[in-house]
Amino acid sequence: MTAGVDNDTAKQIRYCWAVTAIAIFFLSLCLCSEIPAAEFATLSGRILNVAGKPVQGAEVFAYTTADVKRPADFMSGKSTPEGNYQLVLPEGSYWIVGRLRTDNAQFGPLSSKDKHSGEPKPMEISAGGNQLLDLTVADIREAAILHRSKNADNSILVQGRIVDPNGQPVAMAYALASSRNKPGDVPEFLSGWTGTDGKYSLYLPPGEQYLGGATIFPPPLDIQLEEKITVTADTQLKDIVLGDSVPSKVMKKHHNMDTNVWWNDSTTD
Amino acid sequence: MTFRSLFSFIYWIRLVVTIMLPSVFDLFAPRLIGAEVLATDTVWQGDIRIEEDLLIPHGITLTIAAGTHVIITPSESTKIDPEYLSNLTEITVRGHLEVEGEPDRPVTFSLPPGQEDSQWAGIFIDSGNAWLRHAQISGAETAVYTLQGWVKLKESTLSNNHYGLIVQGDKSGAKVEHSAITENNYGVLTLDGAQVTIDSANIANNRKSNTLERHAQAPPVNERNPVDEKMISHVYEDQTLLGTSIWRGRIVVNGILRIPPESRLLIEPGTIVEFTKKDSNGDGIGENGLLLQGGVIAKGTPSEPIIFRSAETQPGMGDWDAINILGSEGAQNLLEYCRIEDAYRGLHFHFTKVLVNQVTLRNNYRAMQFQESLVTINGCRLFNNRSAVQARDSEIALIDNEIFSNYNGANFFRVTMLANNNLFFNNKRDGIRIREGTVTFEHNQVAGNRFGLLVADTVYGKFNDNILNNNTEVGLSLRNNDNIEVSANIIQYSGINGINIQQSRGDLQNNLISDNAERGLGVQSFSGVLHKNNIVRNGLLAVEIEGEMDVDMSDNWWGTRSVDQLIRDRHDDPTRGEAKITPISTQPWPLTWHHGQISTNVAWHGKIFAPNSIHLAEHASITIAPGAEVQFSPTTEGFGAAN
Repeated sequence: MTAGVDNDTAKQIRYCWAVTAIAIFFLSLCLCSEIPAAEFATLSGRILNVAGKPVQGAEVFAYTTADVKRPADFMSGKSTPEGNYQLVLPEGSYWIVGRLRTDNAQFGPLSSKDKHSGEPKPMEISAGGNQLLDLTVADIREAAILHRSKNADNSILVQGRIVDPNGQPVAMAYALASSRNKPGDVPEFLSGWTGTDGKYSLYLPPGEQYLGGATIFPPPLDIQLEEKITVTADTQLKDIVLGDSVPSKVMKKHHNMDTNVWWNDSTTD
Repeated sequence: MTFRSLFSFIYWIRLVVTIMLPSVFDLFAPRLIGAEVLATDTVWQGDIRIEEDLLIPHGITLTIAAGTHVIITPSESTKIDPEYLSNLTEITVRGHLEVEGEPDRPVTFSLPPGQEDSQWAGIFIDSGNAWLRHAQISGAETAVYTLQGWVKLKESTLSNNHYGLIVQGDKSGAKVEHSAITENNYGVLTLDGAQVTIDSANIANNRKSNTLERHAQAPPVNERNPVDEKMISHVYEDQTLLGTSIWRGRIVVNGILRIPPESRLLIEPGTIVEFTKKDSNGDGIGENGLLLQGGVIAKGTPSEPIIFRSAETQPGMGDWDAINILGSEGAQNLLEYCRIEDAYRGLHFHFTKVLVNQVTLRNNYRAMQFQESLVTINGCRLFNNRSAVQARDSEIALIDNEIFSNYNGANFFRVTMLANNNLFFNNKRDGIRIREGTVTFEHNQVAGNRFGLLVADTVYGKFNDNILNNNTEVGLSLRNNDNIEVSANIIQYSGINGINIQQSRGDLQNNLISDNAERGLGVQSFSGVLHKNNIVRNGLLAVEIEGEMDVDMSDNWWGTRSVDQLIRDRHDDPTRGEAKITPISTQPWPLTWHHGQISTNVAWHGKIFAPNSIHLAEHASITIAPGAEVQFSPTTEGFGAAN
């Protein structure tokens, strides 16, 4: 028996302490439930170049606002040789940018040689789990090519010069292309007039095409396009020798605009 | 009264009230003006709410009675059709505007309550005239802008606008009597030979400047010769042409001519194509034109160009609609050695591949407008149009063109573009505006415009080796850009600032920023590299830091040891950021001069290396500053001048 305290009183004291402890316990539970727990999620993915190859050493930055011209709120480590990155973020809304620095600078604005993933990508990060986001980093030239690849049809640029049989450039000529070497009509693909350097350029569909040149417009309807090419690469250089496609017999075709009828009138050079 | 009849009575009362009540409220609500072209003389009174652009055409008068309150709803995407001058809500006056305020009942033009931070465009007097008595105008980008017209302001107040009054061009004038132009950013701006008479007016307490007068220095460019006329060979009405059609001689289009998909139009050298004017809705814009869904090959030659023009005996801008090319994505369309004039939109295309080579576009509302297209514009001349080029979402090669003497030069939005060796001259407002997109802009000359080059909202960009000189207000304006490169540019003789920078990050190196009337650079906020520039002999200041952010500006050459006097920053005003200028370069940074042809006035300071011959156009000049060192390579032929 504690001095000065009888059993009943002690029991009451213990009882009060127990009740108080239980009350504090439950109160703490309530308070804890009032304070939101920080829920995290993982954002991961690969950082690629415009060719789709993995990029090592890039970083991913997460911003809590669309203003990304400031120090990031969260930042990943450098991407692996496989281009993998990972970023742990609290639940919320973010704007994500990937950047690759080519110098040793760690912070600050990018230099013109550095690469980045373009416009910030908005992401909603939900608690728990793993969200995936691949990013492509590019410099200005690569970004232009990427944009072209996404939006253009599959036309391929074919360039070269129009030259005479002596190899000299011909001015005020133009290139023609058709899927047939005797188109029988004005070919579908015509270039602009050449300058003194004889250069031409044509956008052609992939596949086989016949190329030729002319100096008068419309071209003679019996023109033969002698140069056969297979259009496959992004840019092809192909000179056209003008003498090859000038026929010995020039056919002129006349057109009645009222009836939209054509008729032939042949002359020889 | 039975229950049934009582319910019926209540039902009908409710119905009537439901129908009538909005009308009752309408009596007290402001009258709403949507996008409108006034067709007849009109009088406004009471409360007027404008939500879209308003155009007062030639021959029409809008009278605004005393006590009228005009509330303009701000918008950043109002109609951008060629006849409108701003993307903000505007009132354009080509006829006559009469504001009849009284001393105790003024006429007010303002933004809605609670939107005072927004902006509307203002009142444009575009070849019309306006008489404003007891008018109060606020919240505008430019309260009153006069371009080829006249305005008389009496007992009026222009306050809390960006610009109070701008009068531009030698065919423009303004008389300001007993009025107040105060508490704007700029009070009165007089440009390019305009006449402004001020009589007992209070032009004071404007934040940046009360009055400014500037005159563009770039020389005019001559038009080309007219062509030989021909007999009419064919007249077309509304029609569709199937198959391949070839035009020669002189063609008259008296309707809308359509070339459907799988069909083509070929136009021979020397052909003249004329469009009669048909204006069925009275808006002054012709409706006849070409609609090309197949392809078009218009191959003129230097000696036999192809002409597209109005058929009217007194041709005017907008007499015909356009050469519309829509969805022609197969073979590349070609227009070469053509002249396109008097149209609403000279060339208008969507989803199309086009080569525009050596084409002249003049006297159109908009010379070229396109989107989602693959376009090469080479060797063209676009002048005396309301707007030269408006394009978006396209891939563009812009090479060797001259864009001059238009109201607006070129406007590109979200394009991928390579722009080389172009001249943007003497455009009344913007030389060239680029927003978003991926742009490489090099070896161009932008001179004599009100604003030279504006770049906004880009995340990639290269702006190198350009001359941005003699622009009436600002040479280069950068706003909200990231990762841009601005190097080796010449930015001189601007009427106010050489460069304005706001919320941008990038790399500004090796530029020559000199001889600008007020500031070399005005910096609101910038982070990045601003080193190795030559910033000399600017009128008031080399640099003014206007925002709170510090700016690293080390390693620049300032041309003088007393750099502190040339900078306004935190040392002058504790609310501003600091220009961190040390270490200072004691020597100028060498500049390699790449421009073979100079078409404007330039000044050489510091060390210039000219590896190639230089040809000066007529009226252009090079001023070689004291102490400058110029080196030519052994193979340089030196200077050639036009006269």
